[in-house]
Amino acid sequence: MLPDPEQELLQKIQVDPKQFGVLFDYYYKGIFGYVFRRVTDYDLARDIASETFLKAFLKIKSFQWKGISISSWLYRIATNEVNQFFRKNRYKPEKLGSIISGEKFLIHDSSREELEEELRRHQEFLQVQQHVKTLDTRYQEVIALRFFEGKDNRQIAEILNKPEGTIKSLLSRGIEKLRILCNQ
Amino acid sequence: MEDFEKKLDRMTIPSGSVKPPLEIKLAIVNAQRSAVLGIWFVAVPCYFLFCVFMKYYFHINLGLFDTMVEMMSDLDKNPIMKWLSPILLVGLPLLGITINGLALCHFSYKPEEKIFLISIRLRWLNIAVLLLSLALICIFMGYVVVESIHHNTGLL
Repeated sequence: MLPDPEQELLQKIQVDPKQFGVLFDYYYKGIFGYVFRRVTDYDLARDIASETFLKAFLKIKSFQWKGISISSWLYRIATNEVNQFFRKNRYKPEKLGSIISGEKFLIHDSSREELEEELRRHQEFLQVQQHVKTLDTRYQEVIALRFFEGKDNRQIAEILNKPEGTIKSLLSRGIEKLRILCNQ
Repeated sequence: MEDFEKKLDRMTIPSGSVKPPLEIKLAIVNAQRSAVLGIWFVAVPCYFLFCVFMKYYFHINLGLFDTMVEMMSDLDKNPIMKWLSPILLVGLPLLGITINGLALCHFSYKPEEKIFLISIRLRWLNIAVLLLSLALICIFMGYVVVESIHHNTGLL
């Protein structure tokens, strides 16, 4: 649990930026996990998570408390970063292939090895995620937030800053497209 | 479709659990932009060298080198524009080395352990641009040194 209620912590950070470390320590695991499950690449997830917290740090002074939780705000930034990556790079299955085939990496990093081993043990997830990555980003994000992060429609709407009705509709269409891809 | 949705709900998800890093290593400049800028910076020196090789080593006179030399001689007559050639041939590659070096390196100092750490990301395009810029500078500076010795001693 955060040591201070969110609004108080936010006010402290806006006065003393060093307090941002509290936020970082508390939310990093969740944000990294979300990004990692979306991109299935350890180094890329580290870069995107870093970029997310850097942007949050730079924008925190202008952040206005409008009832949106800090968690949702961080998820929103992370989602935008991941979407940007997919739009620029277009999904390349080779990365996923290299993880599945158990290619060794040159730099020893126990976290990386553990996470990639964990990924290899979730074949069903990997196969579904491979198809998710081929969908339009607006379907990717709702599906990932719903099924990988366990968020409900209200939380997804808050994160993506869209009406709940839109989220329901996107989910429905996204799941249908995913179902067709998985059954091919 | 409901069955598929239930299947997705039941699917086990990797935890992706890591400890927050003690520090975030951020490059000082964006790697891709540095590489692209670096390529632009070495374009003119590479073109110059290409013209030199074509004329003096392959003996193919396309007129490119002569045109370039004429332009540079005209520039040399202007007290301000005479600096353009050194800037293009040496200054820009130097800038290319700097920005690509910053894109690759991360520096950290641990005062309690008195350790200064430099970590280098292996981004091959940036490394290639950096090495090419370095090679160009070495070639031009080497030429300047040799010409200077030749001028002073008249031995060569």
